[in-house]
Amino acid sequence: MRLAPSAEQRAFAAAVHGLLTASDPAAVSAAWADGDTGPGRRLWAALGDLGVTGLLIDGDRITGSYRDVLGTAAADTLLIAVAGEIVQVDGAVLEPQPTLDLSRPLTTVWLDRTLIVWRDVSHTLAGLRDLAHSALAAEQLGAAERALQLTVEYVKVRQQFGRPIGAFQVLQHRLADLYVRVQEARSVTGNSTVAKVWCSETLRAVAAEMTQMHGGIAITWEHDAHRYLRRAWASAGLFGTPADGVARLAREFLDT
Amino acid sequence: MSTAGHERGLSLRGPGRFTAAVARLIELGQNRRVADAWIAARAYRMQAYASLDEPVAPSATKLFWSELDVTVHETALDLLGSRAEIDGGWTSGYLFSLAGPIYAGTNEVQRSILAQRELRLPR
Repeated sequence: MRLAPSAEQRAFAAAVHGLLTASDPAAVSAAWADGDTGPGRRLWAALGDLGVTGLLIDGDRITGSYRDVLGTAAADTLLIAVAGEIVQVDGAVLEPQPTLDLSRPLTTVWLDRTLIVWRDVSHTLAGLRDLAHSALAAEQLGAAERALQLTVEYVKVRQQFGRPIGAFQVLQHRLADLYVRVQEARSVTGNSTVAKVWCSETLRAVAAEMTQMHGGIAITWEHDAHRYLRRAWASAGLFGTPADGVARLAREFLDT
Repeated sequence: MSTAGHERGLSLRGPGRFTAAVARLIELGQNRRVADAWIAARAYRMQAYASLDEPVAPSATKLFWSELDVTVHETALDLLGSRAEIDGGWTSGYLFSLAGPIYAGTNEVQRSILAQRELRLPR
């Protein structure tokens, strides 16, 4: 077992240290104490962008904010993943986010010296992320397969210039390229990060072509195409973007 | 059909060729294109394993590896910069890779096969 910090963790620590040094936390705290929370919230946003999603300020309380939390409407328990452990909190403030994907509500969770009522050190952030990536990639694959199927069915019946548009080679070749991507997506589930990157990009490609090939009907509210497009973009950004995944993979293969 | 299937499929271009090529690519440099090539080579290898349970249309395989082969070599030449002018393995490999989308049935033919046989689009 390796207990020393990895290169990734050391780089992360240096980035956080650099940001805090440049942000003058003492002045930020003083402003907050005087009732001006603007600088503090901006610093939190910057830390959040860096990947810091929570900070323990003492043994039993936690302060921080977490974006893009799923399923809070139905949840009666809130678990927060922090470095090295999962904690259950009581008294968080939930703020609904305006979301691109209308069928998947997201919430921002605000914690301000919020009480920790339970902890579990048997899970790691990386392990949870892998699980989430695998589950999301499976959903993206299913959505991509269905979006491709709907588009193929549509081009068989939509007539133009006296023929179904699916008889035109240009559309056939674009659909064949999507088919290749989707077939490949069926195989990549063995590595959760590869799956998340590949399936995110595949669903985005299929949803974009679904919109184009359905033509005007695709940009009506009543048609489902916009739902696939919204889900494609929103899910690609959930639990880290494809670019984040590529960056993580790059570190993995550069180490070998 | 069966012979053409082998010609286009995994037996013509095994996944090891691409994982090895990408390993050499990483020695030339590291950027997003190299990472994408690494991911694609991984995906191709995983598809080779998966195809033991669920066969993949040979036309899909052929499109994938022939385009990956060109991409890997183009990336290598860009990373080599002016050194790419000196004929080495990458340069001759690039010229060879350009034949991939042409032989064993051009990639346009493969796309038409997929569209008409797998997606059942009208001729």
